[in-house]
Amino acid sequence: MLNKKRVVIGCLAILVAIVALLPCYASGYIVAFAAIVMMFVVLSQAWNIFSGFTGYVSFGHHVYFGVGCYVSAILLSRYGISVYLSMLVAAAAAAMLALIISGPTLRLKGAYFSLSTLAVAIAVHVLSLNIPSLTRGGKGITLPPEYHLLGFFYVMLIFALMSIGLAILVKNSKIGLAVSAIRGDEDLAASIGVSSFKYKAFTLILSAILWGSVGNFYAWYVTYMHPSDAFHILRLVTAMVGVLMGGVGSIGGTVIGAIAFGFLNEVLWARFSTIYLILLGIVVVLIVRFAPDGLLKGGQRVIQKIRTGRG
Amino acid sequence: MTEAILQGSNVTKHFGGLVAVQELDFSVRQGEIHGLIGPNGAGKTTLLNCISGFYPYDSGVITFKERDVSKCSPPRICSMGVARTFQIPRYFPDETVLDNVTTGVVFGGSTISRKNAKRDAIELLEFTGLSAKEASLAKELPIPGLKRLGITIALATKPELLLLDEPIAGLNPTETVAAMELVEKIRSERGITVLMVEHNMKVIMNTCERITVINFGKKICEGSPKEVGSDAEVIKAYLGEKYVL
Repeated sequence: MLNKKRVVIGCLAILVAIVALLPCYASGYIVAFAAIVMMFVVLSQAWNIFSGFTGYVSFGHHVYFGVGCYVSAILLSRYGISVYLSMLVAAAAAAMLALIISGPTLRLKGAYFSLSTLAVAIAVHVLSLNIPSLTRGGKGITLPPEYHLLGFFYVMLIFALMSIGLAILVKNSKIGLAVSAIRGDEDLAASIGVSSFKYKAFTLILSAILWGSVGNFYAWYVTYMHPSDAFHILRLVTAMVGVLMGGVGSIGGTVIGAIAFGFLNEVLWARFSTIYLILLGIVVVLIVRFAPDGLLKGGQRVIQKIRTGRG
Repeated sequence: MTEAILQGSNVTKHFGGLVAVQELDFSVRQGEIHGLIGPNGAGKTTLLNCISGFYPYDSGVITFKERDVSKCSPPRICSMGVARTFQIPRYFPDETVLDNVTTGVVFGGSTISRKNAKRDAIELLEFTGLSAKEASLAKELPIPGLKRLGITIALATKPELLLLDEPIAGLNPTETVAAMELVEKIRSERGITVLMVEHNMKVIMNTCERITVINFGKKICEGSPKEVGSDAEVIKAYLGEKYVL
């Protein structure tokens, strides 16, 4: 007899297969849209692995994306190496930056931590504009002009699945227990032997590696990189809203939240292209106000309220 | 004389211009229940924070089992065998009571599987009388339950020395008796030395073998309850000069 877990896994496998076969039956627009939505899933899940699990809200994750973008932009345009090889460098560069940042910032708490991460992101953005010998500054870098939609689509699919797998692995490991304790009460965690810095730094580096790798492929896909695109804060907002919509700390919720945000973003952009960011902002405010623990839990609460109201 | 498990010598801690603990010498003997008392603001909790590694102190040395712990972080001190509770109960609010204790077992210096950790946690909850609440969310417990949970989480790290910060504050007389029975049981059945900060003099006098009294960060007396109760400096600090015989 099939148990519930097997049915869920089976359904998910069919869903993944349908998505994986999308290029066989869907238009280029749909495939490109799906690739971007999967990128949202990776970014949201990676942000969730650090900020959702530890409770340390990072406002500076777009810096890792930007570093990844620039690593591939420089390596591909100047040295013509493979994007898969540059991914290793991008991931290593993002990890190194996260390691350097973790020393001073992870000792801060609450808003101080968040602002320090934002400051780092702004500093690196400004730096990228002011070292033209490396980044070509405001002129940007043109990558080899090739169309990589299919490659980008499948890489994002693999990364989306990998980010979910990593999040599950982390959550069910000793690291997951540690970061959950840190999120619950960091002083109590320290008093029972949790070396909080070690676990926070580990999840931050893991998260940065995912952001850096995705940035690497994004630059390859869009074939032109400019600081204002590489370090755009909207990318951070996208990931944060995905997590908020799904429920902070929830792995499944984050996937659903990121996909829901992807659709919302696309629909608003297509219908109201001039004011879509304003509308998106309003929707985000409404979600945070009425469903702070995510759409799933918020929806459950509304249904429960209606039922008890009727009862 | 029983050997000292915890010793402090010349410990000083400033907060800016304020001296919270001043050149303090103290010792806690192996296997005793030791009281740390003093008027409000005397520096008791500051001292507990210095011992457990939460506050770095400015000068002096604290040794646990003859090992200098002055530069150790709270997790390191915990792994050496010192556990603590907090004045305002601290717990992982969104976890169950059992998961709170299991987390303590997993990180408390022992490398055991989660399944075994759960078994140890269940056994500990039986010991502290919280078994019936193991499936409840920690945040749903009333104050006495939270105090007891704090002690259970600390015990989960298998300490040799337990630092209790006002374990009966906010409890009614019946709950106070039960809490003190638990403290006595921790010492007698588990052989854990207890250093307890408390304001309730009756409880301190009845439970502790030895007491250290501090005022304005300075030690004014250390000895048995009888010695402390008749000490002129202690009477002066608590009741005023006119009560000194």
